[in-house]
Amino acid sequence: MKLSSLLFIFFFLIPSFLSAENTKRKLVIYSTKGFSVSWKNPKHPFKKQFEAECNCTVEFLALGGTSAILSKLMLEGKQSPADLVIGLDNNLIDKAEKLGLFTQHNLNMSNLTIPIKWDNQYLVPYDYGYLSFIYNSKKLKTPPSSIEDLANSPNIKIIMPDPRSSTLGLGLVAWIRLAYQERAVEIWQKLKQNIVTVTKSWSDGYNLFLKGEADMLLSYNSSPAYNMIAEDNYDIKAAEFSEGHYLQIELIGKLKLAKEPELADQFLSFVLSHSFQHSIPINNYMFPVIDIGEDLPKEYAKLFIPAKVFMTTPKQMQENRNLWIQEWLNTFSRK
Amino acid sequence: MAKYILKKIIDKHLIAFSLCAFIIISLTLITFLALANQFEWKAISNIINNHYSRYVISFTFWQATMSTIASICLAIPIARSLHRRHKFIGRNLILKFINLSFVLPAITLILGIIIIHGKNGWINNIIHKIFSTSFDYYLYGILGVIIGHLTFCLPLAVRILLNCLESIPQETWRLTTQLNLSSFNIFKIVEWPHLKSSTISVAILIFMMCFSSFAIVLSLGGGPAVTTLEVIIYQALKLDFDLPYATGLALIQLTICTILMFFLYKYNTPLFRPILFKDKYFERPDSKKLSALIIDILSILILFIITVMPIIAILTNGFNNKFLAVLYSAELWHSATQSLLISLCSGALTLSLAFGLTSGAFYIKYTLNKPKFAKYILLISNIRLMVPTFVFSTGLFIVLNNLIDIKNIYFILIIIMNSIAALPFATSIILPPSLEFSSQELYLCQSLDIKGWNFIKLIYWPRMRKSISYALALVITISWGDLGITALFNNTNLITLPYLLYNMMSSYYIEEAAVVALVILLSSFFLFWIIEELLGGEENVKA
Repeated sequence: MKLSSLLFIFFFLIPSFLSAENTKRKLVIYSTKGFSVSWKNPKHPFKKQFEAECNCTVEFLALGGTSAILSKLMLEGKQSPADLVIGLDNNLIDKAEKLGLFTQHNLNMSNLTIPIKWDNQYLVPYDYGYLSFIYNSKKLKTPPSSIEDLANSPNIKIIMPDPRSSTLGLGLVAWIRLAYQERAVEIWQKLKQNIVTVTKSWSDGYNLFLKGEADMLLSYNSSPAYNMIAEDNYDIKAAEFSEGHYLQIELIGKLKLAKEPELADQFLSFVLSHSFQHSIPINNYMFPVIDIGEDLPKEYAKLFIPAKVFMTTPKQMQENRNLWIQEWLNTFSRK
Repeated sequence: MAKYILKKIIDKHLIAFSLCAFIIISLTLITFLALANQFEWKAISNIINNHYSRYVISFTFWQATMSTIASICLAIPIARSLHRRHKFIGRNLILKFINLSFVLPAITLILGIIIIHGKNGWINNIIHKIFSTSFDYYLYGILGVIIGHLTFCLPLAVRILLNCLESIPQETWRLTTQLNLSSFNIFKIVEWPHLKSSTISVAILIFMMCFSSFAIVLSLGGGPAVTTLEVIIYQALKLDFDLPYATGLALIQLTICTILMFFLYKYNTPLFRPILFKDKYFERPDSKKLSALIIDILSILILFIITVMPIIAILTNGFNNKFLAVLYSAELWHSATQSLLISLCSGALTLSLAFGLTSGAFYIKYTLNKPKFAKYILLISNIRLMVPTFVFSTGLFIVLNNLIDIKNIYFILIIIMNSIAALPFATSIILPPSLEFSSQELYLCQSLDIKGWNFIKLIYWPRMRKSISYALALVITISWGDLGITALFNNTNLITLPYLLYNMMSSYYIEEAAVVALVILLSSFFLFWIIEELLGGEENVKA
């Protein structure tokens, strides 16, 4: 008797006690680890702002990479508590749509200022940037001028995220593939010498880069803005490559099985509002998707904008993603 | 007549056993049934035709083989040296440490290994000071994986082999002294016959552990070139949610590990027995030679560097300037509370399952009179060495998701998976001594009408007290430090201490991580000690 009541307490009472909650409506947002810095920033409290507007509480759950979030949603199925997913991007549009997890947004996209026309019905852009390698110009005097140049300089050590867990890494794979077509395999064979380590996510690699464990880190052309604005450090630069740069657009989507669909809609509109967008360049250090005029910090004028832009279509990604990742994996399993 | 009477004492055992065996077997079946409708035969042929997965399978074999060879080749001379130097001052300390090596959480040791072998680690710094060069990133790759595996497997192997050497009778040593054998001949003629079967079973066990290795390979592998089946199963589930692929890989792993498991049981040796301390030793004839002395110093030094140094690294790095900040953080205490709750629950569950299986073995041995068959009950408890943890937990999750509120699933699932992970240890500690009752003793109990609860209270518990408290302390400490399936489900509401440490490490917050590792390490020792102390009681048994 005693044992069974103890077990009851352990397995049911305590868990349900731990999960006791208040009665206010709650919007649950699954977010990537990369996005988590922006809502935690106390100086730019867009979370509080939205909570005041909607009279609800917003709960962000930082869950690692985009792929991990999609897997988690698949696993949780109908019981998933999530309403929105933030931190998706153009490399995974096809996958997100194929899973059938998202619902249409019904928002007007005409005032977007992103470099391409946006006509996706399911996912809403909230920021963008171009993939670039960043470096410390005090330490690395002559940065490579192209990916091929980098691959031919095995002494320049780089950190890249794993394309299987990070879409930034996937972006690099796509970038090299689009720029070099069939020669991509050959480029990777050489680039392998440059890679110090393959990290799970961008933020993992960033910490290593700060500790001086590599010369260059795969990031965005807007990343130096962070060092300029937050640290007054003008040494960190993004290298401009002659073959062009790959565009990444970050997206938010509303789930079909959202528990609070109205709140979710309200948040989607909020994402495209001036008050959310003006926090993007000073929080996420990416480019905002609407024109925010004077609110764009002057440091952004110092960043290069690539002359040539690469981008994959969802169809292209669907057909080639596994192929390209396999190609990348195979260069590692071949001695 | 005798048989009939005996039945009466233990027929209740049968019920407990059937229940537990039923639970474990049905958990496994449920898992596979949940995944069965996802499974396609095409997935298996896809795996075999895919260049990368073929590479991973062969690499998994390769790294497990290398780790096993390295462990055994080092363990034999080290065990000999420890046996030879029974007077050496630090010996008892090292032996106690080896006895505790199961308690040490994998994830903290990995951090210790990084502190020693990382790019800015101790070894690189020493080399840099003396030769002003460094090995850079030698850790990340196959070498790191082997170093990591050695840290875990070497103490295990040394302990078992040393126990074998200790079991050689003193008379034999007296005889070898008279025969004046060389050191090599002593090994060949005297020691090897005693070591042989244990060496083989340790090798198989280590091979299995390395074959299904996860945390070490994930942390020290350094990329897609150095990976194991278990890791790509994890990635297939976590990143692609590719159930057919993961199930296919799991079947391959299941097949290989089941075959190995049967080999392991062919050479049955008690694998988890602590080292026995002896009072009297006969001086070994080969202990006076200079060459032996050099070998002994070297091998004990290697043992020290591989197994004790990572702990020292954590102890010295843990008390850094982040120490108080981390110690006062709510994050740490929140996850410590959850870890404690989880480890106590899974400790209780593990022990119940182990007792269930034990009573089954008891019944089979004493009532059915089939002692050989009773041993094979241990096989059921080893389910985790055969079925990949992540496939197991995903299957269970899919089933539970239809039954229980999702908020409780993670909690329950972690407890179940932790218990299954700790079950082999608990069973192999409790089961063998439970079968050491002689029939006469049981008949005596019968004639005194001691049965049921009274039998457990008066006969079983006093005799088994030490083993039971050791087992409980071990399984609770294992769950306390086990990263387990938290890495798969990354649930922000349920963060255990090891998962907190893993997060800090994968974000390369090494200083904060060192503090958490220190906390886990010290609390593991404390937990282990206090449980053994509270339950273990005094040596003397009440009459």
